[in-house]
Amino acid sequence: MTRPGERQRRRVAIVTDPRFPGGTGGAVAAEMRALAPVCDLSLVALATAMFKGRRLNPAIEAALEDLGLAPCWNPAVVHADTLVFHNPSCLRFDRTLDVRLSCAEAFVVTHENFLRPGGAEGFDVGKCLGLIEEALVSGRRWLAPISSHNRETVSDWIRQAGSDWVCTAQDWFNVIDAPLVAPVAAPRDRRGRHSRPGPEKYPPREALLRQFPPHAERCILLGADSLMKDGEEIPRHWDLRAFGTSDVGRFLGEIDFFVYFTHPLWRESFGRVIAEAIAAGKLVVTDPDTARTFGSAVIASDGSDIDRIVAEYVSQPARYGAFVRRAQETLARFGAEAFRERFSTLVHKGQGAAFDLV
Amino acid sequence: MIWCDTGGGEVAHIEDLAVFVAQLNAAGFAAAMDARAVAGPWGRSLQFDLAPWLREGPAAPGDRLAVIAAQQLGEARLAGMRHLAGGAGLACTAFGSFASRQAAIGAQARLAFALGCEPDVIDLATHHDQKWLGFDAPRIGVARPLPEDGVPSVLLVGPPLQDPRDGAALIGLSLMSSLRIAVLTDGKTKQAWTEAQGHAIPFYQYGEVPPASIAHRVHALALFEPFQKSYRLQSLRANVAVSGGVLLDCAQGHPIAAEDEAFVRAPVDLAGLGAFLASEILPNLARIGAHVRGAAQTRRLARHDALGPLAGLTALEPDAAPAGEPARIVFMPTNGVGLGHAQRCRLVAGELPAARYATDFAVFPSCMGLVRSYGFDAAPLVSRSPLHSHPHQNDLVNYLRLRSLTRSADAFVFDGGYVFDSVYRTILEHRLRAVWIRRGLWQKTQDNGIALDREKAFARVIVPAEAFAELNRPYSRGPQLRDVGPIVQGLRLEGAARARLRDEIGTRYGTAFRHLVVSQLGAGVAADRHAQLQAICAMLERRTDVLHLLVIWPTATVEAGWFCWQRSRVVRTLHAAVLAAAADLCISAAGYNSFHEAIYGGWPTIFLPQTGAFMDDQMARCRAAAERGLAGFVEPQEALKLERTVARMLDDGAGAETVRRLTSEALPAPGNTDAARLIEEIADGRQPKSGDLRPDRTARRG
Repeated sequence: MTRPGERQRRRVAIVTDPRFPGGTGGAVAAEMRALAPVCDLSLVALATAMFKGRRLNPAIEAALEDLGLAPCWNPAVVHADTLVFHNPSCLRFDRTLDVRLSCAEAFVVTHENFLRPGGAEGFDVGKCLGLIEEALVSGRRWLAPISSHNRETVSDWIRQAGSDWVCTAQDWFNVIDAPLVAPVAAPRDRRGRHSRPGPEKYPPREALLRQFPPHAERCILLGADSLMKDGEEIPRHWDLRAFGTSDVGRFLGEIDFFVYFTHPLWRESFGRVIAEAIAAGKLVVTDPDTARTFGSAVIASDGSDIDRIVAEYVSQPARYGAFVRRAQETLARFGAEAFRERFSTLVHKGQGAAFDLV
Repeated sequence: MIWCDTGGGEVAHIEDLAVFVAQLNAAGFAAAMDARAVAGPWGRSLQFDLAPWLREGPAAPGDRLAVIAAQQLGEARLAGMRHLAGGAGLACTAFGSFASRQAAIGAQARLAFALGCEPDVIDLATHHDQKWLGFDAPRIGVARPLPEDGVPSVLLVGPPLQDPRDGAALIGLSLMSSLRIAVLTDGKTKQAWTEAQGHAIPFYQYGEVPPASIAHRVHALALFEPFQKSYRLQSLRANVAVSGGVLLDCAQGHPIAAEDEAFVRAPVDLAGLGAFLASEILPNLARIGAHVRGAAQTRRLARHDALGPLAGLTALEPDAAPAGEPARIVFMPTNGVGLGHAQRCRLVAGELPAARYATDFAVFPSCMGLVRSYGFDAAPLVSRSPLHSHPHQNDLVNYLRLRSLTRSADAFVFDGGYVFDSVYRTILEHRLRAVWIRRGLWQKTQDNGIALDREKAFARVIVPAEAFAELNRPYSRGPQLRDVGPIVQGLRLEGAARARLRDEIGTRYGTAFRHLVVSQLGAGVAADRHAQLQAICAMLERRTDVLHLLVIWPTATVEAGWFCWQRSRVVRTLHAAVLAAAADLCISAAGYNSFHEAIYGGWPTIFLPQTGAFMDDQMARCRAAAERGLAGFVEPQEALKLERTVARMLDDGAGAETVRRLTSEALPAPGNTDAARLIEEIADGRQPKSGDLRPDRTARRG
């Protein structure tokens, strides 16, 4: 990794609000673990309005402890060779960003899609990027999409907004470091899903009823807080669990098929829960946009053929096992070593049309 | 259909929603609310505000949703909208004042996830330079023609009244013959004023009626405090402006006029306002009104520009009155204790020329048979019941029925002591030409403050007189009041007809009698008359020359004990008067109808008054008749006196003497026909519609 003329280790500052729940927090934690061996790593913690009153993401907290690092909260100035700003959407409720970010190169990792299906803006992207621009003194800066679908939304926004930000040539994918669990030998029609409880994470009720029908042996929906509160009668065959009330590993142990569809007007930018389900040895079915990130490791569906898919794999256990094992192999693409390679490429090998301040 | 909802769940948000939907409907849009989404422990006034617009979801294809206060959207309200959308995409326009662009984006996303369809989000905060837009909801101007004849009306909003000098100045304003005033203020101020000063000046409190129901009465709107935070007042201002009314800024420092060019700066003290109105405004009312109506922002209000995409939706055509049809008059008698109100209404309705007027009734179930028996159509209302969750729950239903029944009415006639919310609101909302038949003789302990306060909704109050002058007491004054003679069915039965009927009665009941006694003590709602009736039956059982008919309404409760007497028979009938007219003695309660029927019919009667605290002063009537020797009078607890009085009437010639005196007594002429003529005047539009802002004085003095 080290090149002649450079310091022994590159100073990399990860800048984010470390209280991000869900995918972003998990991704940052895994990335810190991946980069720590090869960089002088620091975590610049922004106390944004978005997560006021929330606690540190447990995965990040654990990573910091394991790495012997302490978060640096709201510093006045940050100096680094490389600055990685994770998820600019954390600034959506802030009016200012009171920090000077000084670095040779900056990557703004776009964990949240800039546009929703149909073209509506996912958050006030211009405002968030504007705050970063004002705070940033950098030789070069990029937007770093995390998946092909995410890249499309970022590129479309740049075009629509006439922005001078540019995207990295390659994706800044999520690091998946979950241990691999072998698939069960005899899968049953045990279905489940897991997500944060936001309404964007759930398809309309009618679709959900089709995906989790009464004839399934198990239907476990973890993170179903909004379904539990919306006043509609809860189907008796649904096992609804509030977000955070079940250990995710134990929940995944209770199912064989991870059936994951979001609201049609919202899409995952990466789909970390999908990667975690694959690692846990589950067969994943999801929508085509989300499936693109994982290629053949998941089954793409429009949601109308879930019963057929499940029935096929239940009746062919060997095929189920082979599919899941193959999927787990592809997860290596998102492993720590692969990420270090990608990081090195993005940092050292240039980015073509990158915006250049000097 | 435009379904409407709000992002906020507080009472203020629901109040704004009710105003918004009422304004949309008044502007001709078909707008409603999902009943499930606005269910809550709301106060009575808000329940009435909401009731007309509640519908059951889910939305149908082609429907739209309008959301106000969208910046407040929380999970609970979104869940309601999700239910309304019902799985199908529901097009939506959302209005709100968003603190940031992100807040608007967030609201759009939340709505999209709930409705399955991207909404249009209109950020009212970005248009603050355009004063015709509101904050949480778009302002809609509903134009109503202002009455061009008569005296201009000025509505004072939030005038200062704490200082006694301000009160004196307000009274001074109310005495000006060139204008009428009314006050719109908070409930506390209204209560304090009416307790101290009475109801001579019409006072409204802010939530009393929707803005669309009051704006058409306002030639000039004078605001004494900034109103921008109140959607209700914004809507009132918009309605007045598009109707061509004048807007006056009377607030200290004139902050309203500083931001809103449609406003004219006016004196901030009531003492100076009268002269200013007389010299500057009233002579130029039409010119200023035309200027306000022609202003660009008023035209936008009239076009409903603020509604965005909703403005283009087809508005409802207003109801067109069928040509050549007779004028339609709807009567609503309250059931009261007996059937007196219904009886009075049917007597008056019977005097209306059938060729010119179509009469409908809205009546409580106890009156249905009576009204229909005289050939009138009658729609049922719902009576109060202890089984209802709120005492006014029946009135909510009645409000909806009355609204529907009177939509195309030319006049509305109410007969009752208490003006229900349903009645009051229906009159104002439909701008009905309304008449109140209000018999007097209220008990001194009765609080009729609410009824008198609501007199302002009526174009005319007809007061049927009592037979005896000392019983007539004025409860309010003004040109809307009209006294008429007693409204009464004066049924006299004499000679052969009377003899024939008595024979038929004897035959029917298989009892020969010398004396026919009829008792009619009322419906038993106000007091349990069971013991008195049993005492009468027992007393008459000891005689061998009597047939006693115990007459009750068909809807009254029948006691088993009444059937064990040989000389008493229970008769359930709507036509008690015929039996009473044939009787030698009538033992009767002294309600207005029973009393006057007996007096005008010349029936020998012993009155046993009902004394319920909520009833008329029957004791006073009884005393007046007894003092003149026109009837016997026994107080309810005087059982022995009753027996003696019955004996005197039947055996000692007192009955015959009573009849002789009744025949020679000079009684005022009945007012049935006069009452009908007065109603005709209103129905024909020969008098102003209901809602003169100052009904307590003549239209033009001096």
